[in-house]
Amino acid sequence: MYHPKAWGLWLLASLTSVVLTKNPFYLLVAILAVGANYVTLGRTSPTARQWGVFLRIGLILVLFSVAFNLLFVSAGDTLLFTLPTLRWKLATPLQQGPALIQIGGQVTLESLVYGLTTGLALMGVLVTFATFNTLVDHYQLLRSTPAFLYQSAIVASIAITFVPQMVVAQREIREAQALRGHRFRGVRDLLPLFVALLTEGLERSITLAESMDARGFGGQPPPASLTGTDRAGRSELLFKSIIALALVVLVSGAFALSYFPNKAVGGTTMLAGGVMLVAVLWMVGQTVRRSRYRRDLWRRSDSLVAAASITTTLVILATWVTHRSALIFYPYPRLGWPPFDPLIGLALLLIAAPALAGRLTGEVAYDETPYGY
Amino acid sequence: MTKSQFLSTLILALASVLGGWAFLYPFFSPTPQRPPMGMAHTDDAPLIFILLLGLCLVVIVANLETRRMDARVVAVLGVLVGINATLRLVPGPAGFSAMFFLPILCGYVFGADFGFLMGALSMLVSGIITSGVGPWLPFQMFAAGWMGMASGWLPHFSGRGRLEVFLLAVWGALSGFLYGLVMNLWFWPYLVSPGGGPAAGELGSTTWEPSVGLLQTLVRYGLFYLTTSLWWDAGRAIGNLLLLLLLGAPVLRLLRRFRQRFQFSRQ
Repeated sequence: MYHPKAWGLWLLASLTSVVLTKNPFYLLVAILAVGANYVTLGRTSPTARQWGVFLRIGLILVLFSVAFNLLFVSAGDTLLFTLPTLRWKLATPLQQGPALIQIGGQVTLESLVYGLTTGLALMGVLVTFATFNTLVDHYQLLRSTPAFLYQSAIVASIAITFVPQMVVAQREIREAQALRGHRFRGVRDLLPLFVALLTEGLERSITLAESMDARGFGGQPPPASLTGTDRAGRSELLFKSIIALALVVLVSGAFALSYFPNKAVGGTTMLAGGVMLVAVLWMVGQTVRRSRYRRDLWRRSDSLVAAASITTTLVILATWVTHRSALIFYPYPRLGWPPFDPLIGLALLLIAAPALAGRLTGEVAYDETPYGY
Repeated sequence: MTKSQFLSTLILALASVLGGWAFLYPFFSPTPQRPPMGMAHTDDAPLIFILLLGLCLVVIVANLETRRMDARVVAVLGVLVGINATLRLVPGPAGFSAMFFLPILCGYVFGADFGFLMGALSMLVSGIITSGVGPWLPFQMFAAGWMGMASGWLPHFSGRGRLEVFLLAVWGALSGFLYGLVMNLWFWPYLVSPGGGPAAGELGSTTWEPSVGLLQTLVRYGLFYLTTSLWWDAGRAIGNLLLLLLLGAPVLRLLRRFRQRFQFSRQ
């Protein structure tokens, strides 16, 4: 399979596509391209069963979004039919009249199309994450988090590993309780179960901490370095000061954005602060030295996936910055034909790159199971 | 307080202010923007706010880490986050979720830093295992992290037995409402019908409109909260209350015993 960084770029590309576009055609192309990856790569994955679940949740969301728009929105010119209207009156302080909440009334074609488009966008987000979850090894991904966050990545990977263990432990506790004639009847019986589970978990964490210590986890410098008397301490102080400075720039940018109607000043300030923050965090990451037990290989197919993903992201972002209306289809007040630019369509098709790249270079065997089981 | 600790606190405060601004933006925005109804933050705001919140989270988490987590803290945090993430799968009515009482208790026993990491990382991990990862994740992580952090600032009533558990349960109920109050903000400004429809003007009284003034916006939000979200949040608040009353005392005892075994030190 591909390198987690290649998958990260792919996730960025497909998320940018489904979040920034609101055009049913583009969304369909993006969803099909995402789905192609699952069909060619994901079906042998141990978590493949989950994919169907996400798909069903996505369909429910589409239905919900359509129903919501049909019932609550009466705008639009093309009338389909009229429903009986329900209204609630709400007494409101400091208001001229009572507030009204309306359900039903005129049902329009425009609201149907708008609901479908919104539903497709949600579906796109779900399918993207579903495919990402199925195809990417979480442990591999957590191993490649930025160096300055390595401890949180370890916490997260411990937690994810612990979840199935906890399900097993829960069953064992229930069995032991059943053997003693204890039957699970109501909420009150949660207490012995949960406390036993928590004790079990904390006991395991002690064993885990001991084995981590035994393997030399941490290897922290002596506490003296915190007082700023040596080089490490001084550089930490320097980094912290730059982070604080970058945050001050960001906060002042946010202030400017809130109080001056001209968005350019605040936006530029915030961008500068953000770039500064990312740069200093990257520098902090360079100071952390990590040894790796297993190296992730970067192969030619990874380069192909990365290049395709970067192209998609850039095309979508550039279109979004220059002429945003090309990406957003707004059916109100009268429904028209959604625009379709073949160039954007091609860029969106590149989302299917992981399905093809390995085959092109002959590096990914398609019957290989991704988790190495 | 050393320079380093001062800077850490400053960074935590600034990043929290910035994260709070990303939540409260609708109350301060001077420019009119009325994107159509549907997915929240649809227009130009979504990625910016999500990226900003993500960046703030990264800064806070990295900053808490530099307070030197050792293997024991990492292991306990990992296991507790795993347990808490699984608790999200417990079904319940309305806004009920079983994943809030443990960060409250852990923040209270192990301190504010631990509480923040516990709340935020639980949301991340449960998002990963339930595939609930989406644009709302940074908002959830922040809100749950603040909940855990604030629990660490509560005055300590250890040794008061029932009173302590009762006060924690009240705080749990209150924070259940506060969580909803804060989490609504990420979609509330965008609950506006598209212009021209008959519902638009009338519905406007509980939805967000630009440039109506801070007080009026607050009143509208309060009204919106009372009429819609309150009942949903009541499920979460009552759930927190009951879970804390039921499990509070034994879990507190357990956590304190393990804190002694681990010799946690509060820095």
